[in-house]
Amino acid sequence: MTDDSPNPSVGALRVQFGAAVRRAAVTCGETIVYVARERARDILAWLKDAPTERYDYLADVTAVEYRDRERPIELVYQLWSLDRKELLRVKVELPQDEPLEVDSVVDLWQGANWLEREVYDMFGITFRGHPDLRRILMWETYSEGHPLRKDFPLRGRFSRSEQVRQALSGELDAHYSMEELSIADAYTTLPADMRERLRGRPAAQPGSAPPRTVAFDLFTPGPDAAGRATGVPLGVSAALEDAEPALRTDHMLLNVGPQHPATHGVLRLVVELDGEVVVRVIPHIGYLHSGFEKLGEYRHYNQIITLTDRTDYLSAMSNNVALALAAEKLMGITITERCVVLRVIACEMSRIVSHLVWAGTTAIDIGAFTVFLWMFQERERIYNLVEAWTGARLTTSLTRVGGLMADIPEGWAEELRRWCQRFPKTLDEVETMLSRNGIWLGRTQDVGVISGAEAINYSLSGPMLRASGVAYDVRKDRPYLGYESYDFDVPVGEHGDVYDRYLVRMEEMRQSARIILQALDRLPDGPINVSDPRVVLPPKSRAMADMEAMIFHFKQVMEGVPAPVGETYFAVENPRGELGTYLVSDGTAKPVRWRIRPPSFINLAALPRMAEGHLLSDLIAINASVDVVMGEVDR
Amino acid sequence: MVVMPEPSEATGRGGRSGLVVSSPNWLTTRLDYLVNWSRANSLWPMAFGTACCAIEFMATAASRFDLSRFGMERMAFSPRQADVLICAGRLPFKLAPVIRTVWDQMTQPKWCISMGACASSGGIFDNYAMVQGIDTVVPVDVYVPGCPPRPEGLLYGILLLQKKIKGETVFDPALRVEKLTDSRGLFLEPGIVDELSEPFGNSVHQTRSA
Repeated sequence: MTDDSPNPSVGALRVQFGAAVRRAAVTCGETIVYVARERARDILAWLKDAPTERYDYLADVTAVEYRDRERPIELVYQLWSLDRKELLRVKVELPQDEPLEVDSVVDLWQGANWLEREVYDMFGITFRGHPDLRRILMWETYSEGHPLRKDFPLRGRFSRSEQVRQALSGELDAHYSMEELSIADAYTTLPADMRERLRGRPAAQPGSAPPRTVAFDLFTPGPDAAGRATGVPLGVSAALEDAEPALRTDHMLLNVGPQHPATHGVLRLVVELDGEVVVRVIPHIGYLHSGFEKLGEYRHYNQIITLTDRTDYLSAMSNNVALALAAEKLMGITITERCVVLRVIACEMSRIVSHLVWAGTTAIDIGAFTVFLWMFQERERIYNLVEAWTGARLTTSLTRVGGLMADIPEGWAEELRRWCQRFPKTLDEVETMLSRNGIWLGRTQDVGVISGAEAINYSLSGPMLRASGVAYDVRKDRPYLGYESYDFDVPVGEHGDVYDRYLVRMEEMRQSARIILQALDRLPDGPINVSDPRVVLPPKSRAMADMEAMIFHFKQVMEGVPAPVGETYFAVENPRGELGTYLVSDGTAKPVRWRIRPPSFINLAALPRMAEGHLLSDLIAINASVDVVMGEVDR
Repeated sequence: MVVMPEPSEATGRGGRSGLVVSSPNWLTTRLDYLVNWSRANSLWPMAFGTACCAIEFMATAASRFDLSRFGMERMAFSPRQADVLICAGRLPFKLAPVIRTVWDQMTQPKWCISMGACASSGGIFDNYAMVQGIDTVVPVDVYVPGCPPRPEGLLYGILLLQKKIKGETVFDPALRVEKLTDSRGLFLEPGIVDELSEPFGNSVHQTRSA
């Protein structure tokens, strides 16, 4: 397959940490280091900071449980060095008969915060020292267990009516989390351990922001003997109260979502406001948690492609490509020339389609409705092309392992070329409308700033990272599909604010059109699928007439295409950032673990950092600039 | 023939008007026509968009398909000023209390369109996280199939709903009875919920992981 020499960091680690580095392995050309649980945090800290290593970008944290229950659960850290362009996977083995505990790395990478919470939610692994370890995708009182564990049945433990009943009958507030002030109302109905946690607020982390002015004051609210209200239901900081005893200076709690037109999906933001200034934002996600990763363990690789459509539904085609590339790397399949170029076209088309929706909806949020209509008009034009190729507008399921579901129809390439030449005019019009528009500038410039170093620490990717001045683009740094042979630029911002993110995305659309035109020029003739009949379905006409073809057809449909034992982390540059597909195979036709490294989930985790201190109206603009797709955030 | 049922304990909202109409006459049919015509042609949608279908809903509202041709250009993002709940996308259990709250907040007369396979039946997500059809949570008037339905499909569903509304009569109090959840938290019998949620088609055999 590829070379088997391990990453040189393994040798350096052995020198530094000795026996704490248990073993190293190379699979699919990727190096895995198994480290001792006790030293894992130290090793990761060293890898992050040592001048020879500088793995400064934590791409992903996840876990794997094998079907063989004897094997330990593995905790997986995907590290990337932005300078050295080197990938390293660090694994910690957690035996099933011991408590599943490990030290948190949130103090090293802020980006690990939500990722560790997700692992805790889905696998039940506890992270010692995590500042806010609670369920993130399922609700706090979810009682069926940890869904990605192998002993958890696909359909859950309870009957459907019981699941509906539990979802509907419980206190609505009990679905929400501790961090919210509104939960004070539901205090008496909460489980005892939640009450305990509410009573003792965790001490502020050293070096973090100053303590919040609003405290949970759960015991004072209520009328006194004379019937007057004592205390204030939402709590008031003592300092403010002393300064202006006559003035009511409550902080206000505002709930935005989960059903709100400006949250781009079912995102829920609990916002603490001081006047109109956002003091604290607590995002709540999981309202669209659909169990994709669990479902993937029950599906063949080709069946997972239909699932990838529905994770990030704005850029379905590049999701399809991502999964197919990962599965092909796992299976050691080399796809045909024509397929490579067509997949590049598909990826860039979906980047344009996705950014079009982003620009339209963001403009609505900031008050410019026209852009939405213009962008959707362009989108309908490109939808016509997508539909002619794949038969669907949105959920394309374009790729298959080893090829594509269909070749482009006749005359399609010319239509796409015409569209690519014409569509930048619409971008020009939109830029005329927005780029020097006083309202637009006022609403976006210096709003939601995040510095490059911080953006890396939060593991941001895609336009969010590049707008902060970090030119990390998977297409350039870890080229796939021959991206290194295309002539295109990666736009990079300077200020890291909403305006720069807007400029970056607008320029990316132009660059994508440029790539498509180059790809159309070089589009070779030939087959779109590999010729291996064990991988690619025979044409229907042959399957109905030829015995051998029929057997291959039957075996592929009924048994799927097995992948050899191994694993791979394959990243592509999606419109929202680095979309990683982490596949672990135990030799069967269904993966042991299908992990999506969700760029918008990780980008969204930085929303509180970007929005706190801004006005409430800016929160909407900042949230829009993150470009979340809740299907991918919640999966 | 429209018979008005006697006010009963169960509905409690029956003959508030005190009218007992034994058969439709010129006055009531004309009134029905007027009321239904105005209701059907000014449906204000409460777009409960969650996933992929919401994007197609946006496309339906945008310039090419132009939802305002059907009197629906006013998106009511507040449930209190909405007539028709359009659940566009999948409904996980975590979201179920939200759509139930939104539905309860909507004032009568109200209708519900279930847009897409996931909202109608759970779709390809027959797993621990997904409500197997929003009709186990709120009553549904029109189901639009598709994954996601094309804008034309949604428009056809809306036309069907208009047709349904035009067949209603204001003198039938049973139509406007709130189907509230009971003390168990369900508005259907548990057996019915289980039956509605049963796996069907391919998903019956797809619970083996290796």
